[in-house]
Amino acid sequence: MQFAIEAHSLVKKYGSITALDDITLEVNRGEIFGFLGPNGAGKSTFVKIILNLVRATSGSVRIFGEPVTNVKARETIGFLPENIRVYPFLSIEEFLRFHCELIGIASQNIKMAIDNCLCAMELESVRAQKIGTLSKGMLQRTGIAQAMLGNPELLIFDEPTSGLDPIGFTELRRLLLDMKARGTTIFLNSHQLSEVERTCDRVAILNKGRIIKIGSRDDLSDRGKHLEVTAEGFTDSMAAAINAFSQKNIETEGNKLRIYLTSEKDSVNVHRIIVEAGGRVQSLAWKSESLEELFYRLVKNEDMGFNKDRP
Amino acid sequence: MKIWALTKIGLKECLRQRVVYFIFLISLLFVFMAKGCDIGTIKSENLLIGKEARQGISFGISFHGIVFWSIMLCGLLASQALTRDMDEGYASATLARPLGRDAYIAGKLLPVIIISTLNLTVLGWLFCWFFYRATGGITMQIPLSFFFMTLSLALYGLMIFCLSLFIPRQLAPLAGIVVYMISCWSSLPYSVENLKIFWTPSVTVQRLHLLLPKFGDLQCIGASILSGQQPFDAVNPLAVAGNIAVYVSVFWYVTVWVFKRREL
Repeated sequence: MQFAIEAHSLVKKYGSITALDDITLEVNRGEIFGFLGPNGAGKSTFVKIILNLVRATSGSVRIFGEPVTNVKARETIGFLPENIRVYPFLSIEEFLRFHCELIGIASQNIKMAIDNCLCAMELESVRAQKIGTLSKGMLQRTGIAQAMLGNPELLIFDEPTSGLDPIGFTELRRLLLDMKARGTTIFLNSHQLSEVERTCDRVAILNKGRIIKIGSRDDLSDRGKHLEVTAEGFTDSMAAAINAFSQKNIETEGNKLRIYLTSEKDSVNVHRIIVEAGGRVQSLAWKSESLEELFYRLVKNEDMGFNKDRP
Repeated sequence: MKIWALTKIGLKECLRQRVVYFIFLISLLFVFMAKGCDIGTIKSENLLIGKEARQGISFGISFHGIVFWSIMLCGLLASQALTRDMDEGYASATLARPLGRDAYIAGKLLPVIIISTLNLTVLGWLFCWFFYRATGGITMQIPLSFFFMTLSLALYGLMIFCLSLFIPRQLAPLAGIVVYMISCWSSLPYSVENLKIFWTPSVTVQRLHLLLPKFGDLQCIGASILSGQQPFDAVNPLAVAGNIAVYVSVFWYVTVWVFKRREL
């Protein structure tokens, strides 16, 4: 199967600093792929390598089977950079026309292509407005419209929600899902974890240049599945007994316990241990970790140097 | 089409810069000088310089003044065109499109050359117009001399593009002017008949004349054409053409090679 993005053993070094360390990932055709990571994790560097704006120190990246160093690879890509910078003296329409010409859209189709994108981003009424006079949100919409020109097979969005209001958020989500339904692959580089959680099929979490977790949204949620117990009279001896069939040490927060069991059946044992040792269970429920919680936990563990949970 | 798309944007960008109009106005002063500014009487050792010779001096000063300021304009625009796009982040969004870096350079270079050539052309035609008004005649010497200067502009623009990738962009036109002036200076003992009598160029000057881009020789060719002299008596046209071809190739390939390796 030919992947939309295929990175193999990708390394990028800036002097002694390693921005990307042995990144291997595949993005399937037609999926929305979320790329998460804290600031300085190497997300933008990865995107720039995909676009051949930055050269990899070693390793390879292919876009639909084409090496990124070939101009042809970029024929299929629509890109929205983070903090898009545009010639301020151009009107929105002139800017979009410029990009149509760069893509190579036939002159008779340019007007239609521009109209479609302006319509999708609700920019028709301001099409003649100079870009230098646009608000941040409008500029972001213009950037998204620019990325969508020519119906690219792969959309790379670097922080697409930046500057958008809640309505813009919702519209963007709808747009992404529409594009996905039309078979477009979307690579979403974002800090908006809730947005990623709602739209992405698969997610990779990057920290310090390395992928620390990759998987489908459901898969990642399942891995973070835990038993949340509210109990009174919880003691260290109870914790030691429970740890015997737990994946890792119990996390406590007041009288709330978070237990990562190896098997769901062991929840009965947890209840039994607490009750038999004189404790009182007030509530007991299975909880899934949100992407935000998972992200926070993984990145913190990685930073503290004890992440045993690699992809 | 892609290069032309970039060129159109570049033209708009250039025309928004006040320096273009400022330099045009300065150059215009030199055209008015050629219109018939009376420079007074000039006495040589034993003779009084005639009206025609005085007019020739005015024309010469105007020609060199216009060329110099066109070169300045070309340098100022060229030094900004590539590096500002990189610094401001415009280049990365453009280069994310299916566009080679060599095409990008061409698209950024063309507007610089077009604007500075346009400046030179407008001034050249004004020059012709005033000449017609003054003498009632039309001569092809003026447009031809200015045409030769467009070669100089193209070479100079490319040189500044190349330099701007290595040194701070504000310094690139200054460095370019130094090269241009040295080139002009080293051409003098080869091109100006009166100088040949008492200036035998040293080995250093000979080397400079041989190795530097031949801006000076081009300018002397232009000035010779303008003054009605045989331009290729003093200057070997093949050597000039060869020098320009080599330098255009070197500047182009170095610029493309460096820019392709530049991370955005």
